[in-house]
Amino acid sequence: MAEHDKKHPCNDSACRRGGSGGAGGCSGSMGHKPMNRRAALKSMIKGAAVTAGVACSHTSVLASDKDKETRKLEFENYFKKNYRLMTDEERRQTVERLERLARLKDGINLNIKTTDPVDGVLFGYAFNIGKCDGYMDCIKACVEENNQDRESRMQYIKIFEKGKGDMRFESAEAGFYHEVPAEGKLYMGVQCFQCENPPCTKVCPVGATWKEKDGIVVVDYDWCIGCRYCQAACPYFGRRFNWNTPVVPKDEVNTNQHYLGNRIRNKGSMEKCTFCISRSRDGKNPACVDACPNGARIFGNLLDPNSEIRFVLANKKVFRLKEELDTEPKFWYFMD
Amino acid sequence: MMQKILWTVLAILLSAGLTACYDPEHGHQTNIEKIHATPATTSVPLSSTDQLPQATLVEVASVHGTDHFYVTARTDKMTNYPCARCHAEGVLEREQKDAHWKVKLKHASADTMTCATCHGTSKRQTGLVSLSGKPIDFNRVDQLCAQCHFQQAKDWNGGAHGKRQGGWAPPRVATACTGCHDPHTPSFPTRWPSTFGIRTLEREGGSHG
Repeated sequence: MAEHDKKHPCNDSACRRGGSGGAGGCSGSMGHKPMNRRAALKSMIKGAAVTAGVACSHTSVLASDKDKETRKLEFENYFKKNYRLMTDEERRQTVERLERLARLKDGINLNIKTTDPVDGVLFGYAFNIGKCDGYMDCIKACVEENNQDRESRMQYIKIFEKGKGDMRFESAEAGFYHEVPAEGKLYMGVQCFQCENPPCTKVCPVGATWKEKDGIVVVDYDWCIGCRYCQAACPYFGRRFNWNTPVVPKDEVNTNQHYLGNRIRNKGSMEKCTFCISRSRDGKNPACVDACPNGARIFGNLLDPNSEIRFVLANKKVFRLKEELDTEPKFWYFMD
Repeated sequence: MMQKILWTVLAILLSAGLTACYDPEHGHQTNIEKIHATPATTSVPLSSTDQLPQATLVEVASVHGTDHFYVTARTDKMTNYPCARCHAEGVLEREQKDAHWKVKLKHASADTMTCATCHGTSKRQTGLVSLSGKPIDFNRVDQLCAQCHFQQAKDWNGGAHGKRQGGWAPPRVATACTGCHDPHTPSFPTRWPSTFGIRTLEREGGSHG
């Protein structure tokens, strides 16, 4: 009892007595419950009740087979491993489970891939500021391709309108909506730059985000705890957080998904641009690159000496944002 | 006693902080250094032609030494091709009503360009002509446009200008000039954006971002 007194900050007499158990005056204030027989029994019974409830729902005669299967799949899904620790077989089972859940809960047929990075590939991206006219076709294509939440209008890409002669982001306007290109303005897009030395992956406390072999920085959405530390660490506002459960109208869902890419996320999970990992690992361009009517976006393999991105790096005067931070983004800007 | 502990802790933190900054394995290698230190990839198990099953490809010599790239042929999709279909027998009956006089030429000034600048004057023309009268295939309009727009042509050849078809994997299939630019009125008009950023909503009191 004396030991309890020394450690416990609130020193409430009722708490010290332990008589009121978990419902006493101090239990919630520091997250410290006074542990005694009564409190321990209470939490054990609670846990047993929950387990019994889950077990009952599996064997209940009232719940439909569909509900039982849904709950079983959700239960298994909850206890799966971090994607990096899964074997190929486990990955296959995971995506099959997710596809089945989508079929049961929403009636949608998904095709979730777990395509590995292609050997000898390091993706790079170039943005031609001289060509961007602020059409935002890229944003529209990105939102549709990546199944982003429509309710919070999540967008990975931001297009800034800047006055000619002033390249500051502080005075740029991202919320423009008028005929483009406007007189005296230039346009510049930003998104996750897939840094080669990413600060965001270093700060994740649970290892839910990492850089893949082909250079794409990915998030295991179900492993993410939503602490947003990565969002704080990113110097470019590349990361997005789901404050609400993402809402995508059924007829707009892109069913060609990748586990680390455009599958629909959960409330409380981080997400970001993945250079359309479900497309780029199949040899296609990201949706933004294909959507731009001006050809302002260039994408390709940095390790291929004949690629367009290598031509741009070798022949154009390229720069990156906040280069002094040594994040080594793989997204270059140039003007011609 | 307390002071001694504090100083020890400070010394430990300081030494940890100073040594932690230096990463002997990675140092501060830039992307350019990394690219040049990694062996070049010459082929990947992916191909852009998988995405373009219907296209006929026309070869174009590249600035990358012996490498070449492709454009998709136009002539198999043009309706009024070859020109000799109509212009060899005289302009009598045609299936379609898209007569050439509907074409508005807003390309450079009238002192510089007329229809004949690119199309030549001979009625038997089966294609385009260069400024010196050399015939140019419709599938290779880049040779025609490059006469004046040589900077863009050089960029297009390397890949810094224009769009790519079929994805990033080799072989490179580029969009020809006329794939994006209408040769008769090449400048793009202003238009409204496809969507708007969330900042617009925030300003007008919409959902918070």
